[in-house]
Amino acid sequence: MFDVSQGAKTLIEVRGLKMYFPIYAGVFRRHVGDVKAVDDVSFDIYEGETLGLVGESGCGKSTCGRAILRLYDITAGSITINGREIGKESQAGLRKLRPTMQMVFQDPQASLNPRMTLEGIIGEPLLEHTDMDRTQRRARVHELMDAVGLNRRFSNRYPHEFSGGQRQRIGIARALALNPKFIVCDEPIAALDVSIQAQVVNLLEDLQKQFGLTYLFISHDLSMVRHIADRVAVMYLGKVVELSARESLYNEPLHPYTKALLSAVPEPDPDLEAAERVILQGDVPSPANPPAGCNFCTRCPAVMEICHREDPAFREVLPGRFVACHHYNDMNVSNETADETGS
Amino acid sequence: MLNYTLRRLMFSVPVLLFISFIIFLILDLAPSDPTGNLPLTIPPEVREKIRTSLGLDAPMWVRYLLWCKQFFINEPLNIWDQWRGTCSFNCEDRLRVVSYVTRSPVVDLIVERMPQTLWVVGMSYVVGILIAIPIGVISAYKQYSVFDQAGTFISMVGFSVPPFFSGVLVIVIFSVQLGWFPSIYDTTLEVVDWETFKMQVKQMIMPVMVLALQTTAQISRFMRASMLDNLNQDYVRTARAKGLKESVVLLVHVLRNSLIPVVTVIALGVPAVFGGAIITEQVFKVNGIGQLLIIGIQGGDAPLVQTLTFIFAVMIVFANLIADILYGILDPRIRYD
Amino acid sequence: MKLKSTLLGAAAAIALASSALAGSHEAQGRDGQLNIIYWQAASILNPYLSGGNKDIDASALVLEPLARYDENGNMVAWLAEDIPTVENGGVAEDLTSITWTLKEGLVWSDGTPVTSADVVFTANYCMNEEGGCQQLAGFADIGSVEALDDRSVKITFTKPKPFPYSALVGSTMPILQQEQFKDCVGVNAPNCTAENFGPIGTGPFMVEEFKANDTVVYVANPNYRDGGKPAFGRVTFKGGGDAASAARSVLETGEFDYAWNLQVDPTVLAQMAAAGKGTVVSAFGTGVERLMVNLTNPDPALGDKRSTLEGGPHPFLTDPAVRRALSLAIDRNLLAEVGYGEAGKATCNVVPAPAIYVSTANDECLVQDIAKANAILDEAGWMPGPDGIRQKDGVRLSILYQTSTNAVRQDTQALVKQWWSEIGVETELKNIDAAVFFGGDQSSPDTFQKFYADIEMYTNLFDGTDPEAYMGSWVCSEIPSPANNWLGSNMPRYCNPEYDALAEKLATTAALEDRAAIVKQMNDMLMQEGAMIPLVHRGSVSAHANSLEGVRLNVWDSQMWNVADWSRAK
Repeated sequence: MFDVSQGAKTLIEVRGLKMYFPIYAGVFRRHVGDVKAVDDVSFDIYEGETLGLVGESGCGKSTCGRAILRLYDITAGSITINGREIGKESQAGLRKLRPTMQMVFQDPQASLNPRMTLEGIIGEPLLEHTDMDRTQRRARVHELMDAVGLNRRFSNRYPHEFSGGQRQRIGIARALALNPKFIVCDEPIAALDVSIQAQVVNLLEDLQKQFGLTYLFISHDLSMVRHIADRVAVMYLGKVVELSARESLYNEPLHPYTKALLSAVPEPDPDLEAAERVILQGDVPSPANPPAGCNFCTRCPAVMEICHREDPAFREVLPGRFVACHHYNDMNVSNETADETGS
Repeated sequence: MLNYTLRRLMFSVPVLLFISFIIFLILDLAPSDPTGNLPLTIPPEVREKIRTSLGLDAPMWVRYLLWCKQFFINEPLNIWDQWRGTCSFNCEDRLRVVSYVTRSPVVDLIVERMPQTLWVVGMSYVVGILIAIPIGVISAYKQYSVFDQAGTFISMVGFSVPPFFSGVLVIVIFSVQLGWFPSIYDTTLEVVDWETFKMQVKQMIMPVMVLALQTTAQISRFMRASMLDNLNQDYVRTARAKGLKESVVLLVHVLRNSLIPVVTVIALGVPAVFGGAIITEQVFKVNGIGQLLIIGIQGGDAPLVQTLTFIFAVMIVFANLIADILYGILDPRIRYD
Repeated sequence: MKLKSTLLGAAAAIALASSALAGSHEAQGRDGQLNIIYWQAASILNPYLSGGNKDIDASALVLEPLARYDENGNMVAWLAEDIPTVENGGVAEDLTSITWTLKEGLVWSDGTPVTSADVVFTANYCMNEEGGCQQLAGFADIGSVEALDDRSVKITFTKPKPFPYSALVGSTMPILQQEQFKDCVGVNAPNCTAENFGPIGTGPFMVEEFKANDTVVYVANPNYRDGGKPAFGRVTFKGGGDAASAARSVLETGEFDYAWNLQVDPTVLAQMAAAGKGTVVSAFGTGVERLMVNLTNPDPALGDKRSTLEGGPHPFLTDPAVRRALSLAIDRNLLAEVGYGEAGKATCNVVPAPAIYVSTANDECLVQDIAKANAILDEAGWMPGPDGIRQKDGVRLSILYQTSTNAVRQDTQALVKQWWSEIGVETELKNIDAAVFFGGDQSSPDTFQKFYADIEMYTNLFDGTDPEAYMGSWVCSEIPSPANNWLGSNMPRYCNPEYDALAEKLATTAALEDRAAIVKQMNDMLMQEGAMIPLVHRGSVSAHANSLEGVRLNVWDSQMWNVADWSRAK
C-alpha cells in the first residue's frame, strides 16, 4: 500500500480547504456567524486509488466532497486536479472541466430529475460536452447501461420506475458518461439495502479497474470503506483528524476518535471478542461554534490540558500516516526516518 | 388515464346535478324578487301579474324541473339546430332558459358577452402568467436579492390593492390626466383594420393590466415557492455536476419540475376567466360575464344567475379534472390507473 | 291589394316629400356620432316589459307615444294631432271616452304607415292579462279601445275619467307596430326577443344593434317625419359602471356627450365639472324621499298580526305630538345638501310638484327646531327616563328605522338618529338590500310592504303630472295585510274616512283648479296627521358635454324626449 502512495502520481491536491456557510439573523438579516462545515482540510489523492472518507453524520464529509468538485464556491483553500488549480475557477470555467470529475450521489431517487427518461439523464452530459449526434449518443448510453448492468430496454423509462439499486446504477452510468478521471462517491450505498450495497460496491470496483478511475469514497460505513478504500481519512467536525493507509488505520488507529469509531464496529465473530469499546460521551459540538483548541477535546477520553488551548496540527507522524493530535507531538516523520536510517 | 378520465366524468354528472339543485335552492330561498327593482309607480297588483307571467307562481320543484329540461335538453337541441341549420323536435315550441329582466334566452346573452370577457379577462390571465413566471423564477434564483424583494412587494400590492382602487387610479392617471386610453370599453368595436386594432389594444390595456397585476401576484408567488423547493433538490446538484450551463440547469431541470404544481394552479384558475371579473368589468364598463352576473343578482334574475353559476360549476369541475390529468402528464411519477 | 298599393304609394310620396324637405334644411345625420352613457344598462327596449327608466329612455329614441310632457310638465301632442279636450270635442262631455287622432302621413321607420290599428293593438297588448305588462296601471278603467277610422282611436272608460290622459301618453306607453308585435301578445310577450330588442318605431332613430345590459347602437331613421332631423347619424347608448365614472366620462375625459342620473357626492361632481368639458343640469319632478310612519304595532310578539290593523295601534307613533316632534327635529336643508347637492331641496309635502298642487300649509318643518320638539314632547308627558330616553307609562320612545342599502340613505339615517337622540328618542338603524326591500317576496320579513319596523324611508313619485293615482295610495283599502298578500301601497296603514271621501271626490272632479284644491287638502291631511314625514324633494341630475346643444332636461317624461332636436355646437 505504501508504494501506492509514494510511487503514484498525485491527481488531487487539497490544501487548506475551508467551506463556511454564513448564518444570517435578525430583521435585517445581518451576518452573525458561519457554519464551519469544512475547516482547513488538506490531503492528496493519488491516481487510481480509492480514498475513503469516514466520519459520523454532520461532520462535513459530503460538503468536503462537493467542495472538492467545486459544487460550492469555497471559502478558502486550493484544489488542484490533474495539475490544474480550480479553487478560484469561475463556475463557467469549471463547466469545461466537469467531464474529468464527476459525482455519484447519496440518494439515487432525489438526485435524478423525475421528469427525464433514463436516456435523457445519461445522455445529457454528452449533449452538453460532446459533438455526438443522436444515434451516437444513444449507442453510448446503451454502452454505459451495459457497463453498469442495466437492461438496454429500460432506456425510455423514468427514474421512479426503477428500484433503489438500479437507480444508483443509473447515477453511476451518468457519472461515467464523459469518461471522468475522478469520481466522488458521496455515500453511494447509504440509501440501499444491504444485499444491494455489495453489488454496487463491486460494480464501482470493477469500473475502477476497467476505466482506471480514482475515487473519493465518502461513507459512514467503516466496513464498506475497509473493503473498497486504499487509504482512509477520518473527519470530525469539519477537520480531517487522521489519514492513513487502510490496513494501518484499521489495525492500529492513532487518533482517539478513530479508536472510538473503530471500536463501535460490531464484530461478527463472537470468539474474537472485540477490544474494549470506547464509548464517547456527549454530543458533537455545533460546527457554528466549535470549541477552542482541539475540536475533539470536549469528548476525547484521553484529553490533556493542552487540548483545550491549542488546535493540534495535522501532521505526518509516521510515513504515510497523518494525524491531528497532541499525543503525537513528539513524533514526526523526519525523526522516524532518521532513526531508521540510523539503525 | 382514459379509464380514469371516463370514471371522473361519470362521477361528475351526479355531482353537477346536485350542484344545480343546490344553486336553485339557494336562489329560491334568497329573499330576492325580479319585480323588486321596478319603479315604485308600478302598483302591487301589476307586480303580481308580472310574477305570474314569469312563472313564479309554480311550486319550486316544478320550476327546477322546468329549468333542468330547458337547460339540459332544449338548449343543447337548440345549439344542434343552429349548428346544423335544422329544426328537430318541433323547435318552434321549444322553450329556452329565458332571463326575467331582458326576456331573452340566457345562453344568447352569455354568448354575446364571451368575446369581451375572453379578450380582456383571458388576455389578462395570459399576460399575468407571462409576467409571473419569469418573476417567480428570478425571485427564487436570487432569493432575498433586491429583485426578489421588489417582486415580493409587487405581489403584495397585487394581493392587497383591490381593483376598484387600482382601476380608478389608472383611469384618473391615464384617461383623465394623460388622455392616453379610453376609460370606457367599447363592446361594439369590431377589429377590421389596423386602426380598429389599435383602438382595441388601447381600450384593453388598462383593464388587462389591472387584472394581470392580481394574476401576477398569485402565480409569481406559487412559481417562486415551487422553484425554491426544487432548487435545493439533489437532481439540481446532479445537473450542475454534469457540467451543464446554468441556464440549462435552471430552465430545463428546475423550471420544468417547478412548473408541475404551477400549471395545475393555472388550470384551476381558468374557470375564473370565464367567470369574468365582476369589479374590474364594472370599473372599465367592459360589460362581460361578470357584469352580467352582478346585474342578474341585483335584478333578481334567477334563470340568468342559475345558468351562469351552473356553467361556472361545470367549468370548475372540468378544470379540476384537467388539472389532475395535466399533473399526470407532466409528472411521470403520477399514474391514475 | 289595391288599398295596400295606394298606401304604399302614399308612403313613398311622403318619404319623397320628407326627403325633399330635408334637402331644404340641413341633411340628417350631419353631426355624426352621439355618445350617451347610462350607468344602469338597458335590458330591453320594450317599455311594457321594462325594468325601469333606463329601458324606457333607451326605447324613447325609437318609440313615441300619442302625447307627452315637455320639460315644464305641459302636455304636448306627439303622434296625435292635438290634445283631445272636452272643448275641442276629443273628450266626451260625460268624461267616459276620449278620441285621439293621429298626425297625417305618419310612417314607421320601415316605411309602412302608422294607423289607428297600431294604437288599438298597443292598448290590447298591454291590457292582455297574461302578458305581464308593467304599464297596466295606465290602462285602468278602460272598457274598450276601438279604431274609428285609419287615424282615429276611441278609448271608452268604464266610469267617468276626469283625467283621461293616462293611457298611451308619456314615454312609458309608446305605440308599438302591430305588424311586428302581432305574435307577441299575452304569454308570448316575453319570448319575442328579437322584437323586444329591436322595436320598429316612429322616433328619430332606429335600433341597429342591441346588446342587452350593455350597449345599444342606433342610426338615424330615414323616414323620420321631421326633415333634417335628427342631427346625429349614429347614437351609442352605453350602459354599465357607476354614476361617478359616468359623470367622469362626460365632465372630465369628454368621451361621452350625455350622462344620466348622476347620484354622485355633490362635491365630487362639482370638482369634475370644474374640468370645463361639460355642464351639470338638474330638474325637479315629483320624487320625495320620505319617512313612512308605522301607525300599527310592529311588535314581533304579535306574530302574524304584526304591522296590521288587527295587531292594534302603534304604542307611541299614534301620538301626534311624537310625530310632530320627530319631524321638527330634522334639519332637511342639511340632509338635502349633504346627500343630494344640486339634486335635492328640503320639502314638507308629499306632493312637491307641479306647482299648482303644492301646499304651503306645512312649511313649519323647513326649519329645524330641537327646542320646540323637546317642548312638544314635554308637554305631551313624555319625560326622559334614567337612560335619557323619553318614556310615558312604561313605553319608551325607541324606534327601529329601516331603509334600503344605499350610501346616501345610510348617511341620512345617521344624521336623523343623531337629531332624534337630542330630543330623547332612541333609534336603531337597519338597512336592507334594495332587491329585498322593494321586492315583494312574501316569505321575506324585510319588505317595505310588511314594514316590520317603526319608521321606514324611501323615495316615491308619480309619473306624469296628475297625482290622482298617487294620492289614492293612502286610502284604507290600500293597507297591506296578509289578507291581500301584503299587496298595497298604504305603508303607514293610514286610514281616515275623510281622506277616502276626498279620494273619491278627486276621481270625479274634472276642473284643474278644483282638483288641485283637493290634492292640497289630501296632502295636508297626510302631513298634519303625520302619516309620513317628507324629507327631501329629489331632482334628477344629468350632465352633457358643452358641445351638445338642445338638451332640455325633462323630469315629467323621458330624458330622451327631444333627442331629435339635439345637435353639435358649431
